[in-house]
Amino acid sequence: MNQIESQINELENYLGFSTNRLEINLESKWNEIFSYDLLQRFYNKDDELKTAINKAINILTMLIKSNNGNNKQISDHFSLLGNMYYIMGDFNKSIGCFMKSLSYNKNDLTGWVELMFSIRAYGDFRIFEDIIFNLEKAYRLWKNDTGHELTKEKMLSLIDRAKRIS
Amino acid sequence: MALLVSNILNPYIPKKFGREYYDVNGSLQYPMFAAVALGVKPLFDDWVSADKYQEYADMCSKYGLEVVPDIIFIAPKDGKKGIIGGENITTTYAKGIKFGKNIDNGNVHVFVSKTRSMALEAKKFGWYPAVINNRATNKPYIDHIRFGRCLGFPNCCIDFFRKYNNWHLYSNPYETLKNTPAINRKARGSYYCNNFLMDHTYSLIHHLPCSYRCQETIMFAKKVEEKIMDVEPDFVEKAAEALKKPLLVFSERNFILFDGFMAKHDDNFSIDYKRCQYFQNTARPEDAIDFFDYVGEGNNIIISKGKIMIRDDNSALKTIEKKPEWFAINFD
Repeated sequence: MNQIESQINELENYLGFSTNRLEINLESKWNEIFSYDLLQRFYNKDDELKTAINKAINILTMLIKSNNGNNKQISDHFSLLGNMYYIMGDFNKSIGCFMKSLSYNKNDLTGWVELMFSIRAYGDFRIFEDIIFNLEKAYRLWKNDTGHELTKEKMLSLIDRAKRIS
Repeated sequence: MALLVSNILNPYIPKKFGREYYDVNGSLQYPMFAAVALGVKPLFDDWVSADKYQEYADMCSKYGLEVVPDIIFIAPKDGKKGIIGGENITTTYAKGIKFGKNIDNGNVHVFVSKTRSMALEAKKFGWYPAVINNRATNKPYIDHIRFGRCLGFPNCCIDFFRKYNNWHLYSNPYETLKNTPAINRKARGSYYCNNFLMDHTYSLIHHLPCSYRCQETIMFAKKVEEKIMDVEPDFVEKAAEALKKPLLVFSERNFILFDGFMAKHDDNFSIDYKRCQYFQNTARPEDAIDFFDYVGEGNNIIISKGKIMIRDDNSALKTIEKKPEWFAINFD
C-alpha cells in the first residue's frame, strides 16, 4: 500500500466511513446522509474535526502532487474537506472546496448542491436561488464547458447563462 | 353507533392580542407569533398567503417585528411519485418559485423576528425543501441544528434531534417517549411538552422535545404561557385543555386525539372517549392508518404491547396489530 492509500485508510478509520462517494447525475437525488454522518461524528468535537481537516488537507496535497489522474478521488476529498469546513462554520472555505471539487469532477451533481448551500450559509441568498432554480442548466453548462477550473467568475458566468436559457 | 369523529380543535380567534395576526393568517401559528412578539422567543418561521404578504409584513411591523421572505410554495398538482428526492419528503411538500411582491398565488415561507439581522441569520439555515424543477433537495443536516438554535430551542432537545431525527432509522416521538421517565400516579407527559399540536393552534412550543417531561422545555413553555396569560388569558385556558387530551401516536404528524381519559392497567393502557380526531401527515399518505373509521365508531380502545383493540361499550369492533413505535400518551 503506498503512502497516499495509507493516509486515506487512516482518515477513513478516523471518520468511521469511506471517503469514496457515489457520483450522482441529474436523474439521482442528492443524499444528505454524508452530511448526517459527518455531523454525528464531529458534533461538539472541534479538536477532532480540526484533526480530520488537517488529515484531509495532507491527503489532497499528496494526491494533487502525485498527478495520478484520479480526478474523482481528488474531487471526493475536496468535497469531504468542504463538508468539514461547513460543519466548522467556515463557509468561505467550504465554498472554495466545493468549487475545487467541481473543477476535478464535472459529472457529479453533489458538488453543485453542496456549493449552493454553502453560498446560502454565507448569506448570499440571490446566488443560492439562481443556482437552485437553474441547477440542471448550470450542471449541463459546466459539464460541457472546456474550462478546467470553476472560479467564482466562471460560476457567476455559468449561472448567468443558465438563467437566460428557457 | 354513529361516528364520533369531529373537529375537537377549532381555530382560536384572539379577543385582543394578535387579532390582526389571526385576521391575516389564521390561528395555526398564533402562539409562536405571540411568543416572539412578547419577547419570549427570538424568532419563528411561518407561511403566509402570497397575496397577503404585504398585509402580513405591515401587521408584524405594528408588533415590532421584521419579516424576511424566502421562496413561495405552491400546492402541487400531482403526487410525489416521479419527483427526484420525493421519498425524502417528510412534511407537506409543494412546488417552489422565487418570491416576488407581484406574485399572488401560493404561500411565502417567512422568518419573523424582532430584528432583521436575526431573521436573515435564520434564513441562512432555514431552507425548507420545496420541489424545484421536479427535484426536492434537503439542506445539509447540520442546518437543522443551526436553525434550531436560531429558533431558541433548548440545547438538550437540539442534541436529541441531532441523534434521533433520522426517520430512516428512528421514530423521533417514540425515542422521546423512551426518554421520558414514568412517574407513579401521574400522566406520562407534561402538557408543556406536548408538541403534537404545534401546527394546529394549541401549542406552547414548536420543537420536538427530548422528553415529554423536559425541564428546559417546561420552563420555556411556562414563560410563553405566562406572557400570553397577561394579554390573552382565554388562549391559555383553551390551550391547556387541548394539550391535556390523550393521544394515540403513530408518528410525529400522524396521531389520533381523544376527547377522553386514559388509564394504565399493568402494562396496558385504555382510553375512554366521547370524540376523536385523526391528524395525518398529508405529505406521507403511505403512512396513514386504515382503521380510523372503527375508532370513530367506538368509545374505548385498549392498547397492549402488540395489539390495539377498539371497542364500543362492551363489543369489540376491531383488533389491530400494533407497531412497536406506536404508543398512547396522556399529559398533565
